[in-house]
Amino acid sequence: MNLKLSHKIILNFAVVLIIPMLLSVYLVSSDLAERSEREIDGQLAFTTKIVNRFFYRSLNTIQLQLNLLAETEKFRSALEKGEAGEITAVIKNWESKLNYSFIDVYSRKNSAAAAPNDSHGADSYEVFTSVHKTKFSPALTPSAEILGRVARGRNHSSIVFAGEQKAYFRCVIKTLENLRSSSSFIISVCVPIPNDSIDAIKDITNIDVTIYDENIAVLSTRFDPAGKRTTGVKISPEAVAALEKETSYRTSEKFLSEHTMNVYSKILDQDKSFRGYMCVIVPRELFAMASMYVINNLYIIMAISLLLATMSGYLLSSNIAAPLKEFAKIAHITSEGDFKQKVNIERSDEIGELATAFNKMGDKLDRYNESLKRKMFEVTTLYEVSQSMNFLNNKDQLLTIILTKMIDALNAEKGSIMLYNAEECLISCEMAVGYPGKFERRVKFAPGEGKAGQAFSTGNTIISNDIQSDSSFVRTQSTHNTDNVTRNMMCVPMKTKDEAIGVINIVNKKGGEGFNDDDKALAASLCTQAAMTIENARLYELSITDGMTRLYIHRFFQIRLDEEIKRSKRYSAPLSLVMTDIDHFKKFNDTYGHQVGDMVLIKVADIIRETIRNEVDIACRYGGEEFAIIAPQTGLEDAKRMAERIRIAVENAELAGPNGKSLKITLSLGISTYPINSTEKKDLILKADSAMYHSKENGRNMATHFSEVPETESKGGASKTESEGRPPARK
Amino acid sequence: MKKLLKSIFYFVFVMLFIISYSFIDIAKTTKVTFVVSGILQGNIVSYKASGEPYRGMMVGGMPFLISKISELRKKAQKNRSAFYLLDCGDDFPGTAHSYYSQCRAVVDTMNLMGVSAMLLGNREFDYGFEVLKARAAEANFPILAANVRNKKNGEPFGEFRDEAVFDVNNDGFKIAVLGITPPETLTDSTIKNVSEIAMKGETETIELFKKKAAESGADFTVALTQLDYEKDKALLDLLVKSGINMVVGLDFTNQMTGVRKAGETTLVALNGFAKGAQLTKIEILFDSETYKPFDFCAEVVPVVVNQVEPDGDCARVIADYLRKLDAIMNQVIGEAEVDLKRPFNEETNFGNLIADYMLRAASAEIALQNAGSFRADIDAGDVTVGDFYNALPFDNDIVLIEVPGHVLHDVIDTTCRRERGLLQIAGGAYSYDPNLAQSPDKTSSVITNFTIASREIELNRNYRVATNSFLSSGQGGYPQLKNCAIIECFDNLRETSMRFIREDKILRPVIEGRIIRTGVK
Repeated sequence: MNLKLSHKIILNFAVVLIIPMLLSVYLVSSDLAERSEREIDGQLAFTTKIVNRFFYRSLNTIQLQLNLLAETEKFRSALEKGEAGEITAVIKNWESKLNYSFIDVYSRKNSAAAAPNDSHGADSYEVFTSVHKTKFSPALTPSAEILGRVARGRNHSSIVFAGEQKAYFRCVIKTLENLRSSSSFIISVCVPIPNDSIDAIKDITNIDVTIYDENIAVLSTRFDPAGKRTTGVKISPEAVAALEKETSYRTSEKFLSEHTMNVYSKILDQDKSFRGYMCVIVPRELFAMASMYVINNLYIIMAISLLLATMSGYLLSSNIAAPLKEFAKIAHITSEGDFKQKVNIERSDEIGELATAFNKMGDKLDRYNESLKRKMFEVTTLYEVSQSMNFLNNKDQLLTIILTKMIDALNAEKGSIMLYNAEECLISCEMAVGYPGKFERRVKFAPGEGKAGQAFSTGNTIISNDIQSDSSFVRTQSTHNTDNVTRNMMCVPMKTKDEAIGVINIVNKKGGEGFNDDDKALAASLCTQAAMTIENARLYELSITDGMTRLYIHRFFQIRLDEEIKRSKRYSAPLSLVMTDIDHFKKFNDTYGHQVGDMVLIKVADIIRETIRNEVDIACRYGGEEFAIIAPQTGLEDAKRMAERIRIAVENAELAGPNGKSLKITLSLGISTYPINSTEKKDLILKADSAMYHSKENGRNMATHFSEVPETESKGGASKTESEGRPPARK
Repeated sequence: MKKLLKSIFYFVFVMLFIISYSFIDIAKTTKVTFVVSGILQGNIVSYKASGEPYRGMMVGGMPFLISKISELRKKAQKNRSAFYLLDCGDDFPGTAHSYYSQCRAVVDTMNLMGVSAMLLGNREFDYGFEVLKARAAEANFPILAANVRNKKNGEPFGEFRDEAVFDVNNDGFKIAVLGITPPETLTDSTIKNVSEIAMKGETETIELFKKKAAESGADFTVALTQLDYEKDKALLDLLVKSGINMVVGLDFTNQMTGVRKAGETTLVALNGFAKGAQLTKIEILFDSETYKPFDFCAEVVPVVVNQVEPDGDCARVIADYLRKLDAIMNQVIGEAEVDLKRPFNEETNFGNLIADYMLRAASAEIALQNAGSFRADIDAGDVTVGDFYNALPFDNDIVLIEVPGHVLHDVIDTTCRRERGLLQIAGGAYSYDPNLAQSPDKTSSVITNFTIASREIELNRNYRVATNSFLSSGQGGYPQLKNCAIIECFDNLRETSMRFIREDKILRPVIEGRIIRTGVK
């Protein structure tokens, strides 16, 4: 069974109190029950004794009274006379002393013949005279045996039950014998036992008594609900059977919704002969009352204790288990990595202290976690940014990536990158992300001007979270747009080797917050990375670019051509190579000097760059005045058109020469196409070169595809190339 | 824990629903159950019914009556009905238990009944006003007597109240109960018992009640009376006209099985011979907003011994009284040498004995005792209080009145003409010939001879006649005696007689020709 702590506490309290209480109730109630049993026994024995004594006392009194009356001179003289009338008259006067119902005077049947001590005298007595005040019952007549016993000198007294459920005290005595007539008489007196005689017992003891003759109740202090005495009821056979063996028999019954204990016993005569039964009826509550009070009080105490135990258990459980439960819940949540949950217990005790400490620990962990997350985020961002940057050589793409990553990392809306242009001595916007409309490189600041200028000139990151009220903020046209309001701004200088190369502006932190120090630190890291990447990109660009023409150098050409041929092979795409040479370049040098020669080279390079497909075709300075153009995915015709376009553009271009002269330049171009002409790099170059020489030889200022070159010439042309990868000697 | 809270919530919700539903139900109707008891006439112990509809059955008795009332009360509570037990009075005196306990036995047991209000009946005065006041003080219920006033100052007695007001369900619905003691109390009772009281007029009583009821904000008014619907039409009309909502009265014809309407007034009747064997129950449905009654149902509730479980507490209280009474009843007061025969249509020794005692007690010239006063014979032998009480159970006093000779002659003539019950006489003798009643001259008397102190009656002189208070109040069929001047009131006839028996010790009354019937039977 899985019990919760709170249940365990309550159960513990309850058990600790209930078991002793139950034990005490059990012990006390059993003790009280025993005591009350003893008390009942004692009370019943006492009552039985009282009832018995009452009867004996009454019988004794009657007998004594009867003896006295029988001794009176008047009675004795009446007996001596032997006149029934006189005796009756005397007996009638006894009423005031005896309150009798019946008196019978017996005389010996044949007094002359029988001796006084005749052992057979029992049969020889007959009624001499009688006074019967009410209807006489034969049951009241003493038996011959009694008369015989009385005749032998043993007086008799007993309780006799006559018909109609009436009880009598009966005393039978023998008169004195020293009379002149030498005859003796036996007097039998029946005195009714009135109900109120036993009612007195009830009034005094509050105990009901019922007297039975051999089987029927003849006297009772009890009344049925109809107001009749409960006489005439038969004694239970069980009681009779039990009393044959025991002196008393006890039963319980419910009479008029009252539980009683009924104790039956026998009524015995002076001579111990059976005269009837007696039942003493005691209300159980008479005895049980005191015990009941005690037990009831115990029950009340138990109930209160149980209540208190449960309450205190509950209080304790709610004081300990409930906070523990809260702790367990929060600890579980914390273990899942959420350190923000707090234990909501505000108390001044130990649990309160524990809660405070726990919450502090949570706070610390949360902060630590947050900073870890931040660091992780920064590291990840840096890594991602650097990853992105490392694989990009295109500057614009690089700047876009740098900016996008920074805006994302700093949770901002938009941003821009400004790079320092040493020629203009200005920082100009090189890239912007998040601004509406097409990006134009027109925003420029002098170092120290505006926020970006300040950041650039000071080399420190500037955060302005309320930019609109910042006087040093310079509004550009875009920031006048109401939809595009700048709320806050962070300008981070990009530095390489302590030299600023530009500024990254991050604008409008999302979520309404401003930029903070964490953002500043991250931005600084990112900017350092960006600066390095931009610088690297710049250096790389420098390494593969011809310084004068700003076209790619020969080595780069070789590498790229290799790559492009491989790509064309992979994708089964055509690739064309255009080789070009400036016609009569030597003449320019010789006539106008090297400076003009250089200008011619720069001009041709510019025209080529502008004519070819940006980002697709690759223009290189092959050597001297020779240029090569790799045109990926370009077939024969397209390549011819491109070459022609270049030729015409150069032909049409005018170059201001010395003395206001306008110099005319023409180009000879040769084209070879992969895979029509060759699938090998070397061969492709050779064939393009061969085609170019065909153009030179056929009047210059023309573009020839190798496919147009006659078979014989092409072979001869090919032999003119000195070696792979090296430009041919200038003509 | 959540489950527990949930179940507690549902439990509370259901309980609220039930409670609100029960309130809605209560809001529609208010039920009030009235149970009418009364006319106990001291019968706290069950008895064998002699009249219909329970002839031969053991009926009544306080333990059974209380048990039945409890049953009705529980039933009413179950039906969410308010319960009021209205008692029509005439409860205290009437039996040996009442007499020898001076009504304590009745009041003690009635205190267990839960009476809401009891009417002060005329019989309540039977044992004297002091006894009544003492018992009224012991009663745990209000005894209403709006028309009973102190003769000296016209003020009400502190022991009684004019009305009772019940606040049903404690919600403002009030029921006012008026108690009108029978106006004939003054005339029907023994004068000494009512000497201190004055009766206020019914109209005045009802007006005062209406005023008080209005002041107390009663919505429903009840008049608790002993009026007989067949006979007391004037009072009934008065109550109906005055707008009393319900009149509780008595029905002696046994025709009215509970309830009927008279105009807007509901009439509820208790059997005038109920003696605890019968109750009347009426359940009235009231509109809970207007408190106007709109429906009722009524039933007569019998109290038959073997149909009800007796109330133990009451039975024990009664048993205590019975034990004490037994001791009294078993006391021997004398010895009868001859059987004492009660009279019917002839002179008997018992009749003569009692008439003689009346003459002796009142020092009158002549004594008259109605044969109906004797209820049992007494055998020769010891005479106990019980024997004598059974023989003369009515609590009448000896009254000495002054009767003109012609009225006396008329009274004797009346008794001689009756089929049952000849007046027993002492101090005089009369002979009659019932055949004379058949003679063409209807006005002629059936009395052939009427002597007082051995002298012919003088019609134009007044005689000092001792009789019992029943006859002197004009009851028993001799209205002529009602107008006769009362000279003096003496003690209870039975107790006075017993006092004489105790003095005489031996009783040997004889028939000595005081009443002689002549002519052919």
